[in-house]
Amino acid sequence: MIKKVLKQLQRNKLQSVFLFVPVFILSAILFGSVVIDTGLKEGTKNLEKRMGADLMIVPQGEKDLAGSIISEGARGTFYLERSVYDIALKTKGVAAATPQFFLKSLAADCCSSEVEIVFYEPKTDFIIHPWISKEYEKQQDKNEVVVGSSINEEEGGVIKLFGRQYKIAARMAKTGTSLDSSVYFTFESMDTVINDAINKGSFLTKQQTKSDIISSVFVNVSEGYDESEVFENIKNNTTQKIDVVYPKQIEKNISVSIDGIYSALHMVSTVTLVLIFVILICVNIIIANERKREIALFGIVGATKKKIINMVCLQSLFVGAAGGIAGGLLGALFTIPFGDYIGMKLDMPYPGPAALETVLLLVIITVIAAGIGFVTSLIPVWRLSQIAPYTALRRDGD
Amino acid sequence: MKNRLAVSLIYIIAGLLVILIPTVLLPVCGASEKKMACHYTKQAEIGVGAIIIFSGIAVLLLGNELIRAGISLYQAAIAVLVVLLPAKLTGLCKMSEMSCRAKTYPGLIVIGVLLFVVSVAEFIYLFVKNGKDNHDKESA
Amino acid sequence: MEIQAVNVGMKFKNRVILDNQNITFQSGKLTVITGPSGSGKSTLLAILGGYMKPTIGHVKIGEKDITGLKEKELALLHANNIGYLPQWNVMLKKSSVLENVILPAIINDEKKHEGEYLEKAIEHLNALGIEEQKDNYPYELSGGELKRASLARALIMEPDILIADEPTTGLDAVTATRILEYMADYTARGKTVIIATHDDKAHDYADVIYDLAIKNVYNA
Repeated sequence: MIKKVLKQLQRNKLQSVFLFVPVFILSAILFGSVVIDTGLKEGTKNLEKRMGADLMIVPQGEKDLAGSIISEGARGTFYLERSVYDIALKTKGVAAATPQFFLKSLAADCCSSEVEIVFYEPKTDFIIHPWISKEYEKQQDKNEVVVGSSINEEEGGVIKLFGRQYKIAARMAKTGTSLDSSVYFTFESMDTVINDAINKGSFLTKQQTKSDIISSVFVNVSEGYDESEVFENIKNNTTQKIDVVYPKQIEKNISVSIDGIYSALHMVSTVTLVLIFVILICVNIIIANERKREIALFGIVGATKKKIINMVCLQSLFVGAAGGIAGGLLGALFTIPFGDYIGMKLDMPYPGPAALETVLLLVIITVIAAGIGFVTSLIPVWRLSQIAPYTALRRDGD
Repeated sequence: MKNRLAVSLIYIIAGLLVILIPTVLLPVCGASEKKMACHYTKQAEIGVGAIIIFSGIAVLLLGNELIRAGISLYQAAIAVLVVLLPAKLTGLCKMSEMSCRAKTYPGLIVIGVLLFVVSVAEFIYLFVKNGKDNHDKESA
Repeated sequence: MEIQAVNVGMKFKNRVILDNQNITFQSGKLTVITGPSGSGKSTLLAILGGYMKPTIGHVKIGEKDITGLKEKELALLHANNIGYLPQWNVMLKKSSVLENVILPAIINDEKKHEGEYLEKAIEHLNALGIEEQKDNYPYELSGGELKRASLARALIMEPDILIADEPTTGLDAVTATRILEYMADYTARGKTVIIATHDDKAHDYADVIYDLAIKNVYNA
């Protein structure tokens, strides 16, 4: 019987419910916002890596489209003659240059989803290489591809495109943009791929089938040279009508808009945090008055403060922890699977959190929640310790 | 009774969501000429959702706690199936930007996990309670 | 066990709540403290039991000065040596009467001797005439029954000192007599019993009467 009563004393249903629900909501929000927050931060970092070029040269009139290539990783189909690249290489102030060719939105055999095909030059490339996370082959030949992180391979590490199998030479890290769903060929494979596409009934424009064309040239400027001056020099040397995008400028704009999302996110989570904390304290003060005489009785019959805390607060510690785990898991259940969708909606690069980070965050939130449960439940005991047990026994108004 | 009604309601709602998520709420992309993996997943989930609703109704109509515990145990297995269908069995489109991967699959994960947690909790609750009741009867 | 108030007084914001008192309560004696309302009877009892600190003076129980005692020692004293019957009936709402009566044993973690305490609790309840209420909850009891249950709780650890604050106020004559008789019986076992009351009936059971207002001791 003693055990049973002790348990009863520790369990206060009302207190548990009023503790669990706010802590649960708090933990879910906290988990969700931290995950989205770190996801976006990671995304911005990736963005910086992706903007590995000072200039991106595109055909005149394609500036906006090119801009969205950088911010969202979407592909466009616009074309230039290869001579632009050769001229860029010779222009003063150009430290490095590499061409790319985009073939947009072609159906792959894996399923009828769209795969974005990019041709690049491994020798001069400085755009794709930094992203490679797993390398299977040292050098990529024309029967091999580099794939984005969300391209699923078939058995044996191959991918089938337009009826032909290609070995996967390397796989890229997740960028959180449509770069993830691209397949990268070297220019050597260009003829084969385009012929296969035509034979499989894909419609290609005349421009796309012409040889010696590219979509864009990425340029890094030597130190001490002005970016726009270098571009003017290239423009003056070529007969082609070209335009330029400054990836770093765009990156700055994205950072600014991400900052906006951050502050909104931070504000919402801070406000809820404060609000819920206030609610918790209020609830505990009400409960304190409710339990005041009960707790004073414990003192009268000889319980030490430590014992009272044991009886009254330990439960709250566990209830808080349970609320933290449950809320954190709920937050994880929504934010992690929906991560890609969140990124798409925000038009932001958004790689989800790593497994270790998730577990760590869950542990931290649980500890915080348990702490909140314990501390807020100390309020009744603390208030009582301020007055003599005799006074606490009085009914209000007596 | 309160528990029975609540659990039954949760099962029926979960079943409805399993049907509605791939079709209406967070739909897979429309089937064009070529039927994609997500299309078959959608069809399969409609069937699974119907079974979940049926179990919910059964819980409501059947009083015996051990039978209800059994239904919940199977409900947990079906909840795994809700997630396993898109994840492994019938699969989805291969691109992470596709609707089925970005929206439908996460939605099904959420429902599947929640349904799993509720069913397992209900099973344990009923099982433990039943054991206790029997124990009380024996000792009385 | 003897309990002694040495020049004990209480002030609150310059208002005298309890004028300085010097009095010794002896073992085997039932002392009734009388005095008009507001003379500080309840305050003196709370101070004697160590439930409140006096602003001046000190309380000695046996040879021990309890005024400066550490929390742990004081708790031990409350658990084993002092039984307190408060003016208000405070009970755990969700526990039965029997569970409430053995609360001091529960707080003191007397799991080993649980049986003994249960037996003793039933004995007390039986003697006080509320045994059939033992499995009921406090809200099902009348004021007089609650008071008797509280008395049983105060006595469960067999304290050397019993302090009772207005134990008969608001009770019918039969119940009041029953409670006073029970306390007198307890005194006969060599215990120190202190009652604060303005119920004249208590005088019939008193060995000593102390008038707080005029600080006068009568031996009855």
